[in-house]
Amino acid sequence: MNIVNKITLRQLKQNKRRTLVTIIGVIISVAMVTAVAVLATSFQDFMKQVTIASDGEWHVEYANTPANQLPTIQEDEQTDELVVTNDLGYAEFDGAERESKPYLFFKEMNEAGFDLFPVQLTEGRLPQSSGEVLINENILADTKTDLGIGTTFTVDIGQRVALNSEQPLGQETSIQYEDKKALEKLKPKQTKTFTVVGTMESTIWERSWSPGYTILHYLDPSTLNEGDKVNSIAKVNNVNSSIYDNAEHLAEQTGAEEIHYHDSLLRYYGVTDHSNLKKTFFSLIVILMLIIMIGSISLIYNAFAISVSERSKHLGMLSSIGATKRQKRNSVFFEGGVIGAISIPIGILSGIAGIAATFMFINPIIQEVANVDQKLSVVVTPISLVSAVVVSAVTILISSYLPARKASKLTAMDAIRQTQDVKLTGKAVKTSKLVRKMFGMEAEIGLKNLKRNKKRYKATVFSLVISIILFLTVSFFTDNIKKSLELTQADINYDIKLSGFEDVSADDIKPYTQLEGVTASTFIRTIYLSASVEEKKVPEVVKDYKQRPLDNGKYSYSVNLYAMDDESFRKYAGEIGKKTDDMIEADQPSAILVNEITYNDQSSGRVIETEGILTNVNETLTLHSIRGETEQKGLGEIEIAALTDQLPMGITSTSRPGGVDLITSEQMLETFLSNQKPEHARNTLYLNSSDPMKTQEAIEEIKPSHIRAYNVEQSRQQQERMLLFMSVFTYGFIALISAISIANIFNTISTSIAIRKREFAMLKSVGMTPKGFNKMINYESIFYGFKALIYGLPISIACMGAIYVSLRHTFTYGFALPWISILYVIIAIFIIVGSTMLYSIRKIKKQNIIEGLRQENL
Amino acid sequence: MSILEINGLSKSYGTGETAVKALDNVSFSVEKGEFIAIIGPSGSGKSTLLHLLGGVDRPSEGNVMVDHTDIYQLNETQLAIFRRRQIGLIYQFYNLIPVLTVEENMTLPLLLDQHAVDHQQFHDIVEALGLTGRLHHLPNQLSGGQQQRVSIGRALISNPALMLADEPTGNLDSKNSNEIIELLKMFNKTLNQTLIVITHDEQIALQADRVLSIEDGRIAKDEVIRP
Ligand SMILES: Nc1ncnc2c1ncn2[C@@H]1O[C@H](COP(=O)(O)OP(=O)(O)OP(=O)(O)O)[C@@H](O)[C@H]1O
Ligand SMILES: [Mg+2]
Repeated sequence: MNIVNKITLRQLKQNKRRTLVTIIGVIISVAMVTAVAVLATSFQDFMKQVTIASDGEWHVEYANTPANQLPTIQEDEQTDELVVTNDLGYAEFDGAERESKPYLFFKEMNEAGFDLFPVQLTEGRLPQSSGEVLINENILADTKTDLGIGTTFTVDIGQRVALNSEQPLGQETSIQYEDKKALEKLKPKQTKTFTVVGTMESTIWERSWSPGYTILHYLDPSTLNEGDKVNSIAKVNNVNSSIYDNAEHLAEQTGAEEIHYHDSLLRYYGVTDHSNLKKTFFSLIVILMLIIMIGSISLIYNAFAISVSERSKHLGMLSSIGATKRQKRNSVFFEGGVIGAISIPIGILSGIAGIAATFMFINPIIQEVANVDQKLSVVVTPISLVSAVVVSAVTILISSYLPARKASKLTAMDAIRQTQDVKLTGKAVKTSKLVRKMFGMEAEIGLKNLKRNKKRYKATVFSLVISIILFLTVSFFTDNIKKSLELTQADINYDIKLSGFEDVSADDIKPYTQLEGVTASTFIRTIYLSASVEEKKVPEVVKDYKQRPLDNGKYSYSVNLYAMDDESFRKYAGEIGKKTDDMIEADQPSAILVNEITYNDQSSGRVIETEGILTNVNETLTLHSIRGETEQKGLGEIEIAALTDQLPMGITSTSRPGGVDLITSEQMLETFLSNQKPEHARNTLYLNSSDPMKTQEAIEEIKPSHIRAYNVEQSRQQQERMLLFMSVFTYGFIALISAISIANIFNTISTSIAIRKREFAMLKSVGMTPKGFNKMINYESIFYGFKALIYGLPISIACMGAIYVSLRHTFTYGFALPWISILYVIIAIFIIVGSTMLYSIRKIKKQNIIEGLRQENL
Repeated sequence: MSILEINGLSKSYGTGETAVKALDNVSFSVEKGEFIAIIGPSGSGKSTLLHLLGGVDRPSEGNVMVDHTDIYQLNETQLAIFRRRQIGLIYQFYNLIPVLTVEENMTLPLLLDQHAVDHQQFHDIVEALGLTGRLHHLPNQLSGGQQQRVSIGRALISNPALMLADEPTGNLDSKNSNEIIELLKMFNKTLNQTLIVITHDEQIALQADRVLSIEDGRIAKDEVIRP
């Protein structure tokens, strides 16, 4: 080792405390960089697992492949496993009880299909030979058919087609009918006999609106005929961007008609081109890494700059006896190398350990929140490791570059002059007389020190400012998301909501009010209608919004008509101060108009409050079904009994121009409809319970699959976990960044004080008292704190403003400064600076003056 | 009347094998207004003695009485104020504050005491020290001799009762050197200041009232030249 490096090493050892703080700072930043990289790969892997669990582990689908070509695909190098599948079609379901699900839907797959697609067996076993099927367990739950395990049944299977166009229909299209007349039919093609060997949970081939219950049949590819066409779906060996070319090549070779890629899975391998996700994901990671780098660079740079100015005497001496520029410069890079060699491995290990610990903590939360069984597990790829090392090394290199250049320029003269950090201008530093008057001479000396040591002072203020900005903006962001979540729940005063589509009748859900624990309930029937309104009754904003009237000069409004059970209606009417006695019994149906709308105007970004319709009590509204553009399909007139701006519980306002909400009672709705059947209706039951979770369980046990139960308590808990989950990451991030900043502040302040040992001894020798000494240090701390806040707070507020503006659409409320966080920051800054100062000064205060004067440097 | 009484003063550095006894049981007393020169070979303990007299170091044994007060019995604050008002210390290695200008360095003891600076006196001293035109420079912009003169100015500015100078002319040419000594002597005579100077210069030593020779941490000779 050359002498220059030897001196460097010795110096690092001598300044143990500073070296240690620097190493810890670098370890933290390496750990954070590693954590971000590992987090990225782990999340990627997690999303892969989740996608595989929900959509199946496949990559390419060759639609309509000729059966005789299957071996070509099967034996292709890239193919790992091949699913052969075929949609057999629909059969009438004799025992069907729901209007929206009158069919059985048959699909067949080979063994690989049952393996790669998420088929959740609930009872029995998987089919193993031709003729064996698995049925959706809802068939047994929803109906009284006896399709239990072991049953053999025969059905006519065919295609669902639209009546007018003969267009084939699939599971994505709900049952087609109008006014109780079917708009589709079944064209039987073949008769088949199956044996039920097991039941399964509802599959991914079945939506809540799908018209057929799924039945999965075992397909033995050897039984296929020459001319048959099937879908073949491949799981690929090694996913990379070559799968596109290869798939196209194979399709051409085999004559498959179409290729579908599993984009939602492939994007987590980073191979899809047409996905913004990659970009968003990548830029998020880059931003995080940049933030960490800024924090770390300011720390490491400071550490090196300090060490160079300390070593300036040695370096100058060395240069006077012939050390080259290069040798001097390299000594700084050598220092960086030593620090890096120690910190990077430790940092990487602790980053991985930190992430592992975090995952352990958040896995239960994420499983609950995302409702998945998959776990986040630490996935370390060579790329993530290499990028962590590279980012860390670059950080150290950038940080040491300037100090190294400075070191290379140090001459023997600088060594003799020593205090070259002090600005070499005779220009008087202006310190106001006020400072001396108010705080005494000691404060003035402190201030002069700061001002003449500009570089070090700026570095300290910079690191303080960065910490302030990071802390405030991140906490502003989390605060706001928290607030949004809370707001969405603020008005909810029910515990459980039961709802369903048109085929859930009032009689279906009303029995649930009898469940144990239910204390109150509201039944609401919602009908979606429209109304034409004369021009003179339409407010200007609505006219602007609608742009032009209908042909007849009127404006079309969408109307949500809510019919509450009579008792709840009475209560609601009472709340808004309306007597209902003469209303409910009257021949003329009437309703309460919720006539105030509040909405966020997208073009101006302002929240606008306006009346929905310019109308009065006792006037009428003509309502008609949505499909009827003309008034021929009119359902009738409804009288406005009262105007209000208050909605009943459970109902959220439509709040948009050209839309109004009408509230009426069940009885009046009957009068109004007088046996006409509206097309879009929905029944909802709101329940209050003394034990929501228990009631929920009771509901789950008896409810059929088409009734949806939404438990407020449960979702509230879920959202709280979601918040907790986010807080773990954001506050973890804030804490670590703050730790780097604190290490930085500690390093700068304590070194700048250590360097001034001589000066302090000198001041003492001319008679500065311990009290005066404290005064000087306190003043310096306060000055640092103020300066940092003066820059930090406005910049932070500007950042918050920018966040608010860019996320305006997510935030449904005004901009508010996070005063509490600001207060924390102010207190924390003074505490951190003050305690570091006190810590550093403690030893110096006790030191013997002569010893202090003998100090060369440290 | 003796202003200074030193009894059994000892100072050692380190412990065990490497222990160095820089001062070994030194006793003497000094009358108010006396001019004493301390001479002795390098490393004999001169600076150590002077620092102990100035209240900036701590003795291992013995005490230093200034005006019948044992200065090492004072607490930190009292000692600091004592140094500020009673002592003018000129260091062998100047010890100026790098961030303060020449003017600020020189007036520092007054400023710490919140005393107004007597401008007439300040300018007299500046002129006598030949520092006019350098007042707004920082210490590292000055030559070694200039820095030494600033540190002399700093010691003079508060009219201390006890002036302690550690080779104040070590870096100066003979002309400058004579002027400085004359300045110190003038303060010594006109203000009845007690002056103790360490010097290797025989010319200077001969101008003193009394010469103390130090060898190996002990007073080897105590000669009164003019009573
Ligand atoms: N901090 C210290 N640690 C150890 N030994 C010390 C220390 N300070 C001084 N000494 C020793 O004490 C002795 C007296 O030192 P001092 O500085 O008083 O000598 P001096 O007479 O002023 O010499 P010079 O004429 O060279 O200035 C010397 O031998 C020196 O090595
Ligand atoms: Mg000496």
